[in-house]
Amino acid sequence: MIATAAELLDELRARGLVPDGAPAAAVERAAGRPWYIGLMLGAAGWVAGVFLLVFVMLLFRPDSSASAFFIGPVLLAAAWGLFRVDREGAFVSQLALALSIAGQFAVVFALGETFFKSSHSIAGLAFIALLLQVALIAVMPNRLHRTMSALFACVAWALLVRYGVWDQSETPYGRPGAMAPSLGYALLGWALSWLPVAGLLWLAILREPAWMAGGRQAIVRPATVGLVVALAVGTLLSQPFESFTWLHSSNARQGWLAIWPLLSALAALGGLAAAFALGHRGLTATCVVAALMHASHFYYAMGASLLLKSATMIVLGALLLSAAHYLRQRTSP
Amino acid sequence: MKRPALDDLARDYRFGEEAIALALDLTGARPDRAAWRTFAIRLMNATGIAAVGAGAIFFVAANWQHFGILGRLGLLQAALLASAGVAWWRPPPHMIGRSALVLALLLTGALLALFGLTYQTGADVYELFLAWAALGLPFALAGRSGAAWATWWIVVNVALALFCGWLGPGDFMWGWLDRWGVGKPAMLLLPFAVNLAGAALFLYLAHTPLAEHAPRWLVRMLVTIAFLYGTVASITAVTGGWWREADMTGQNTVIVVLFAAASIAIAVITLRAKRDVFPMALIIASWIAVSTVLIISGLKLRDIGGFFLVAMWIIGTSTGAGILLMKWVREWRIDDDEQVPEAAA
Repeated sequence: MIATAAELLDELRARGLVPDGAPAAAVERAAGRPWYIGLMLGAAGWVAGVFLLVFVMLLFRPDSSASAFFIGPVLLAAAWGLFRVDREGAFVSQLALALSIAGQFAVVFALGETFFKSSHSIAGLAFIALLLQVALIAVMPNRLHRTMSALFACVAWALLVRYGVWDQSETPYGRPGAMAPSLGYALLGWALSWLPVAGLLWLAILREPAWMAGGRQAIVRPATVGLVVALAVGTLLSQPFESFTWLHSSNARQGWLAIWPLLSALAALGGLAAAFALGHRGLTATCVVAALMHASHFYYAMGASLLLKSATMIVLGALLLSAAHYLRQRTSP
Repeated sequence: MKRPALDDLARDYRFGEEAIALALDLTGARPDRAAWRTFAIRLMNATGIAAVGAGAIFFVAANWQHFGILGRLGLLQAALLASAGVAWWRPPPHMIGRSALVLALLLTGALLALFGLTYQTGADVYELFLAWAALGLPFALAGRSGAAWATWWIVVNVALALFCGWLGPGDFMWGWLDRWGVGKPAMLLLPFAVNLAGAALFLYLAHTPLAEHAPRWLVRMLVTIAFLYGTVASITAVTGGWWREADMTGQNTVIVVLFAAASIAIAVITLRAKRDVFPMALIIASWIAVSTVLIISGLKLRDIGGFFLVAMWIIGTSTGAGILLMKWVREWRIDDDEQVPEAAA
């Protein structure tokens, strides 16, 4: 296996895939930022952004969507400028991240006030947030920001589907006596929320050489990390209130929504496979923890008896162990 | 070679699609068919064990009345014996033996829970988890794997969380501790100390012939849990605590000083060893959190300046932390963001 850039260049030259004239400089890259430092900086930037937003709101007192619409883009532009100046992300990127978070809240508030003030539609706000996050993935020249934007875009999509399909206040679904969703409806709802995310991730992994050759690594690479995290932990946010015991517990009844945590655990395992394909240790750990979390949620999810859940888990476990045994037997010499 | 390095190479030398596909394969950055197969076997094995274990626990919780007490106990005992038997047949380090022992560890808890449910022993839930940890210890020892120990430590931590977090004035232990004037924040230092001691033990084991018991991720997991407890204890202490209304200023000061002393000691050891930046990141993140809460608590956020100050404090400290941590990452040549595919499974 090739371990250095120089060896790789020699091999590719020998196969005629790199021109002979290309310089043979040894490209040794500085160590990348470990996942836990990125996580710490991202969390700190987000919290600081909330405080900064409150400060800006108190300072300018935007009592109309017009003033918020002015403040939001200004903050986002300031963040973009700081990211451009500090390309290495060493000195002012945390300030830029906080400004951006504050700016994003202001823009979503402004557009929400303009378009959805009368309807108080959460789905509408989620749709605005989705568009904003997708735009920021392309625009903001910072790796951590792109990862966070990809994650929040998926979260916005999940909330859009959830509040567009399940948790609408005007639907009769949440009321006592309403029909519980069928298996098909529950599966369709989950698939609508998360299959597009899984599909995007699968496509990104499959087409990796193509987007690398197109010079889009700076955008797609951090975005794939955000997609994996979304698939692992973001799935919880799409869960309708109906299946939580601590909310509307008096309304909870038998229904196929109880299988959502199991599907989410499978999504986390899909994220684990994607993390493996991308070679990310930190992401694999995140996915394992998320899968365990979803399994615990399955215990509390209303809609099915514990006995049925127990049988489901034991049968699923037995099938998985048998499949592992079969695969091991097939591959052993 | 890692992907960030390949990204730079592909950009600088303008690799075509074919060259990149080949580079990903030649450098092992993209898992091949054999690596995927190994990954799939391990994944299905681990999830299968977890699912069967969870199914057994769900079964006990379901308290199925149509099945007699002896039948339920017999079923779980048979499953436990079968797991132990499988481990005997294919002992660790064989994967089957390791998996069977993790399952046996989970079934021990299910059996204890069923026993408590059936005979109404009157024990608190934390006592169930402590007994589970004690009875499961031989399985964790025999498992000789990070997975078995991680499962065991999760059981221990649930017991500690239940003991320290949910213990109320009505409990016998609380009355005993109350007599000694032990406050809630001080209680949280117990799981902090236990997890830290566990991390130290496994860090030591990693350099002995028993290294297979102590992968680095397990040490990191224990240190992380320890610092979560330490941070919550310190935050509770600096905000005055929530449980007792009596004057606990002296005790709260001691808690913060103890946590600071432990943080300094770990920082000194880490800076001397120069092996892993992770503990430094934890220490810094903990103290950013504690100091931010202290500022918020002091300012009470009554005016606009308070919000600005807190935002600037978080931005300033996290920027400094980022620069410092990355300096150590480069100087100590740490590169643990990615790894070879085989190790990931």
